[in-house]
Amino acid sequence: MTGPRPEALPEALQPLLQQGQVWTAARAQAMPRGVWNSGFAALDAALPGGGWPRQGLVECFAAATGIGEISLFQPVLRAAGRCCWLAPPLIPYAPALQQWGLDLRQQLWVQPKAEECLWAAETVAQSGAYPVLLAWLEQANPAQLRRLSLAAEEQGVLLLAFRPARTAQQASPARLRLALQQQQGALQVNLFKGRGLRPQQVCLQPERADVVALSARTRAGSGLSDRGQAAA
Amino acid sequence: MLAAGIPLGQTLTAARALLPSLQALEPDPEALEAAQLRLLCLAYASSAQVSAVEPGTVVLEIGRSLRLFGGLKPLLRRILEQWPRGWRRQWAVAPTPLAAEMLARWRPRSVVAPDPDWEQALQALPLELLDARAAQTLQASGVQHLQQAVALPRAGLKRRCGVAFVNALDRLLGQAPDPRVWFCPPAEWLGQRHFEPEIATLAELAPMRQGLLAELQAWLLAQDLLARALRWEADLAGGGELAWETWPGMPSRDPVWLEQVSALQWERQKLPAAVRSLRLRVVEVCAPEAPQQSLLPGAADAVAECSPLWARLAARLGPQALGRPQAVDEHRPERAWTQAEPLDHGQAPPPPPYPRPLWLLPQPRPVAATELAWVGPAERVETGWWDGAPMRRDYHQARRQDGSQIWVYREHAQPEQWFLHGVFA
Repeated sequence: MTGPRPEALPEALQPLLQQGQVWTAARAQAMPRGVWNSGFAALDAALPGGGWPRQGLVECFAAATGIGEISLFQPVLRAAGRCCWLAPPLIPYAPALQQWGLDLRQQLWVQPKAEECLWAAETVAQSGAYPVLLAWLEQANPAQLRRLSLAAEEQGVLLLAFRPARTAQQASPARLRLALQQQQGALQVNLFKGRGLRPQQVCLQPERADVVALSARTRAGSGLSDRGQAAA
Repeated sequence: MLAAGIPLGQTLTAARALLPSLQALEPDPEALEAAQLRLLCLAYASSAQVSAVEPGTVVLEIGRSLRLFGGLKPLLRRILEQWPRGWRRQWAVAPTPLAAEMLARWRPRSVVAPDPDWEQALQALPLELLDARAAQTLQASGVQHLQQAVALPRAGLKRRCGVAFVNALDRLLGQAPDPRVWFCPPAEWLGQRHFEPEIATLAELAPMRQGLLAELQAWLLAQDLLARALRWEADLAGGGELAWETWPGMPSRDPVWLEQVSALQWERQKLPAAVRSLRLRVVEVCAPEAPQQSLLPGAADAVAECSPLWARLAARLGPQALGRPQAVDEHRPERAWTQAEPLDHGQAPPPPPYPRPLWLLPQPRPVAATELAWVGPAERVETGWWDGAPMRRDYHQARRQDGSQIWVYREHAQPEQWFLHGVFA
């Protein structure tokens, strides 16, 4: 995986490298901040670095709403603690978030007007205050995605962008792109593009709400207060 | 000015003769008043007894503040640190207000402790500082300093220089009471600037905003308050008006921070016409919270880390666009959630024991049951008969043909119609 050292590259490339317009493969694939475990062994094995990156843009294209496209990231949201929900399509239902084991006090729910959405996404990413930013970006061109991606890379923010399936063909600077669809009760994760990725499909059975609800009652409850119990 | 040979007190005509390029500015009573208010407010933040002497001069009773702020040095540092940048200052400390005022003019930065013979420090005080007319009278008989005047027989002194002068002497030396009208900060605050000529560009407005915010800071300090919301109003040359509110996210009195947040809004504006005047009001204030020792480790850090972000978002998107989901102890699903402020640290009730969907629809939508496959058992919600919004519903989880899992219900009163209420994402 180690490419040529930057100084060994032709001189003509140096200005471009310095401006950040061209990356060496080694740098693009490097994940200095490590990864989040996805919570699924099969998926960890397929993802470059062995999990979801802790920085950068990950684009999700779900075939439909309600196939478990957010549940897939449940373990990451729990591990990250603070999450920002930017322009979700419907109301993030507080009791469900509790059942997922998330601390409601650590969630930020932002509902900007459509034209402010990109600005808000960049502002949240640049602040670095939320390690995971879930953003529903209806309209974003490759240049705009690139800005967001850079902000997320620099600040160590995992920017999960949920985008309409029709935009999957667009060029994108995303670290990872995946398409999700339901197949016979299982969630099919199609990892079709990414840095250091060998494209492949993984079939998962994400924890659905009913399974989690039962475990959440004893384990997570209302968030932080339960950590104290666990420690005791 | 002085370099051109124009002394203070020169008439304008004579000054113009010396320096033809001289520009005369009208005194601006409004600005003077605002500056005086700012000065009084700043002083009030360090002492409850503050009194105006004349524009630009205030006296503070510091005897009671000494213990609170840990002695004279820390107190002086506190007062001087808050002093507006760029304003000249002369100060002195003395046992009587008049003595302090005289010393500040005569020997700035002197500190006279209330020893039994503290009057010694004033012996050489020139009398014209105290009373110019009396000083002139006395100068004829060779009396120039305070010490000499005090030594004169009182009856004669009273006859020659007037009762007022003798009273002033007594007040100066603490031999007569010196009652003052103590300042009380105004309950309402309004800052304004009028521009002549009018201001046409946003860049020129920024320093004006900073000036107003600095004045506001003094008032907030005096009242021991923080601003939660500000309102900017600008009168335009054509007769129009611009106005909007600024929510700094976290309450603050820091002019730098408030300006940053205000600038976010101003920079998005296009000035339709030149600005004739600018006003700043405080819409909402709150008391500063004592630094709380949080029981949750890291909770305070989280607030400190996130507040600037919230503030930026709230300033541009409006405060209502920002929140966090909060659970409510309520069986009716649409009432079991609310949007809380991001700062809100309220505890949430435990979640219901039955599965809940991640997404809730703002309004339930009718749905055809023919294409649904049921998943799991039904849940009956029968509640609310006591408060006029009764609910009798059966909730089901169902799978649609595209594989998505949804949350549907039907009313007992209308069992054939199903409604979509949530999505298990």
